[in-house]
Amino acid sequence: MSPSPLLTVSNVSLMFGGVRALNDVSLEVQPGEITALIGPNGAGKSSLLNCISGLYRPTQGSIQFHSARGSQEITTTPTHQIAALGIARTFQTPALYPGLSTLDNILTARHIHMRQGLLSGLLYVGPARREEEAHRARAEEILGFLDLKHLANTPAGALSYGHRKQVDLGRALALEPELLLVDEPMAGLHQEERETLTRYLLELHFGRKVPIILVEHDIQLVMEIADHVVVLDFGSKIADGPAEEVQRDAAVIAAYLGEETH
Amino acid sequence: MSAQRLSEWWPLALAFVGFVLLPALDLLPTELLRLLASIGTTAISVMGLNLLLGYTGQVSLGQAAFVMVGAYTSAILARETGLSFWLSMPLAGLAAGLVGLLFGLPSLRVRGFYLAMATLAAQFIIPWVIKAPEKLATLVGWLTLGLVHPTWDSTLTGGATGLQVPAPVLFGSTLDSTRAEYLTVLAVVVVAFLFQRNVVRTRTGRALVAIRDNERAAEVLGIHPYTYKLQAFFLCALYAGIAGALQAHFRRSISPDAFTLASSIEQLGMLVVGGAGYLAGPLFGVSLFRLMQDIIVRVTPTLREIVPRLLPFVAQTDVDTSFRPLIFGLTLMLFLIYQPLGMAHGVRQLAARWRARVPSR
Ligand SMILES: Nc1ncnc2c1ncn2[C@@H]1O[C@H](COP(=O)(O)OP(=O)(O)O)[C@@H](O)[C@H]1O
Ligand SMILES: [Mg+2]
Repeated sequence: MSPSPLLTVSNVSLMFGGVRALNDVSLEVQPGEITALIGPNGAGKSSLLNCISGLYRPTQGSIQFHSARGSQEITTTPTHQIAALGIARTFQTPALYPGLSTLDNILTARHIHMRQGLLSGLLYVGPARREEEAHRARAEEILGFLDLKHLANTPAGALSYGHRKQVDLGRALALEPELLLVDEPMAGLHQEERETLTRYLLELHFGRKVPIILVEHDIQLVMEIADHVVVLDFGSKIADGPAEEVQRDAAVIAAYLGEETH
Repeated sequence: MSAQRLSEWWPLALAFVGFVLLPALDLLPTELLRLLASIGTTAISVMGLNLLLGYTGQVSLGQAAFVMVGAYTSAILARETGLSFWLSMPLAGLAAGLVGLLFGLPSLRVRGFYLAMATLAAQFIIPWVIKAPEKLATLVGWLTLGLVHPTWDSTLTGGATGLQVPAPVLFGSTLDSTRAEYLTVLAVVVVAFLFQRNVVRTRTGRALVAIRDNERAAEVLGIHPYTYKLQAFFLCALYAGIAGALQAHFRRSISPDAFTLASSIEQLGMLVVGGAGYLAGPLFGVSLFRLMQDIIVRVTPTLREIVPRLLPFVAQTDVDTSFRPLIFGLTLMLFLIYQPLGMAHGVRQLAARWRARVPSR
């Protein structure tokens, strides 16, 4: 395909006991593009994101990440190191730290960009304090971008579902990812919240050129914003191509679109 | 602006007068100072436990054993090398921290109940080693294939009897008064508290809470859980070690039977009642338990006369042995039912309600 993909998934299979969650899936993610991952429930979309972010280990196949710092196989790289390479994600059900404030949730994502350790943290003077303040400012900026400034000091556990989804996204952004994985950002949101979140995603994409793998059920939204669409069904890839092309594909319509147009 | 400054500063000024000025001028009763010093010493250890359990969500049943490591390290350093208390105390913290790190290793694999069981090992192994250090010496000899032959024996640790410990010396004067003990403990408590606060508020602390609240989501942000769990075990035991050194040099004697599993469990109880995961939790919890203990000691003589007369099946010795655990157990139960997040949480709720009632400035 294209000469320099950002991420290459090659022949990945994932077994859970007898269940084949992913079956020989290959795909490429191009820099600067939104790649949509669609398919019915249980098709293996979340499993694929989990493989990329290191939470699941593929039973077979490999995953390569080609960052600005060079190409690297990440199939068995520990999760925290994958994050340090610049792959951030959100969760289908937002997985925040309920005991931390909204701002601190975002700040936690600055972890890989900060240097202070245990000792400098204990003393909290000079460089440690300056570092902390600089990153706090960055986190506040992100809260501003998501219009969440008024909730900065609210414990994440007390946020509404919609806000939690937004903070989950904000946290992934704060990592300043080279690749962003977003798992069903709209699920469970009201129309208004959906529109807001769509605006953020588009702003992200056009403003900051963050490449995104987007898992989303809202087929209309997907066709509007995705450059590239990959369709999974029962763990296998059944279609892969530019959005308009995939939309015309008969297999997709049978497996997915038909089911979705109630 | 200046009025606001003032309203922020007066509690601090009041605390200074009450906790520093009055005691320094010898205007408070010795008994009270002794109580406060005991609260402070225990609170330091419980602050360590707070970093581990309250902020990182890892359990340890070995805190008393880590206090023991600190107490013996500082005592032995002072006795064998004549090292100043002001150096042996931090070294004791460091030694305890490293031992804590070792016993924290199981946290890499197991959690919850199983981790508690694994840390319980500290509570058996450490007193055993301290009572019979020659066994450890033999082990070190084996492990180093005979290259190192430590000559440790029970004269080093005092075996089952324990050790006498010299009092700290500051600028040539021996700190053997209750007032000196109180002021020293207070200074260490303040530093320990500030360190606790700094850790919790910054990068390390956020990583600890992230692991506590959602370990997978922590990893996904680049936080390595093992590294931070071990740091938490290190800090937890370091605080215990500092508390142990204070205890050894001001109580002036240590014995291997004083660092029991019951003490480890009691510290956990104090933390839960005070509020795990709240900066003030340890101070609240330890204060409540120590005050209760004080009251219990005072009323027990009366009770042991009255209760057996009212309830004939209760003997006087039953009152002596059971009254304290009964009250402590009951307190813990009541808190777990009615205020499971502890006193610090309750205070915070009250403060929030108060602020909501009074129109803001
Ligand atoms: N941790 C797991 N353990 C066992 N089975 C799993 C696990 N995660 C996913 N699966 C199974 O893998 C399949 C794909 O699930 P998932 O990736 O969540 O689908 P999707 O996100 O497309 O709805 C399902 O059959 C699901 O039950
Ligand atoms: Mg899913």
